[in-house]
Amino acid sequence: MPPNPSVSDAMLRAVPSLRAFAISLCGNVDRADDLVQETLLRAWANLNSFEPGTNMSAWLFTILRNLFRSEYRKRRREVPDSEGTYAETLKTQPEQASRVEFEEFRVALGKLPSDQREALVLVGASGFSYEEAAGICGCAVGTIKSRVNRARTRLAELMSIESVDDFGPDRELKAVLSGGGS
Amino acid sequence: MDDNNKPTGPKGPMAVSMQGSPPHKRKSSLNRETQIKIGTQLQIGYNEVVNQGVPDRFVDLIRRLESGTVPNSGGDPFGGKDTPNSEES
Repeated sequence: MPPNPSVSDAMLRAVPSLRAFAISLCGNVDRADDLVQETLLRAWANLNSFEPGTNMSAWLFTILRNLFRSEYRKRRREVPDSEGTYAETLKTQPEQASRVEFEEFRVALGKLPSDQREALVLVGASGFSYEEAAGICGCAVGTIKSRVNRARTRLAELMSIESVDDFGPDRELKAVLSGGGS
Repeated sequence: MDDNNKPTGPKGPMAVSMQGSPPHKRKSSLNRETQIKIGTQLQIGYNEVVNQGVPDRFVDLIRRLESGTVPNSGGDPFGGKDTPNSEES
């Protein structure tokens, strides 16, 4: 039975942010696009397990994340692609200064543990709520919150946004305890 | 000056439990400015990709799926159970 056209439209509408999420996961555009393609194929083949009225985008993100996780386990030993690939797709950085800053950020983001990175991207860039992100990652809301906080703290350290003196030795604990952050 | 023993806190309701605890803004180890900076950087890269729109290969893929010219890849979307069993419509 051919799915309702609105379903394929919803899938297509989700593609840009699925790609952005996939790139943040694998750091490589070609692999990310393959991951998105595989996600769409899986989703299509399993449309009857999608509950109409629920968030199609979150459903697709969940599939993509799970595919990445299982693929990642297989490819663990593979050397991650050079940093260039991602940067090459980003052609419209306005000024040199912010370009450098962004580059620094991208490298720092790549150094985060993958569970922290995905939590940060889902909440901070994809615009999902903590609850939705928890659903996508299959963990508790509190876990997402603490991952996001740890990710922020670590990024700030890596980028030296704040001087190290601003941090006490218990900064990680504080970050976790501070809940939602803002 | 001993911060811990400030006699009066001319603050609002936030001042209730202030003995020994740092001022409110230091409760989080990252200040607002830093959080905004991280958020902005995060969105720059993300939106850059989002703004590329939908590459043709995905439009083609969906069209081919709609017309049934792509063999089902099958598989459970969550990599676990075998046959999803809830028929809709």
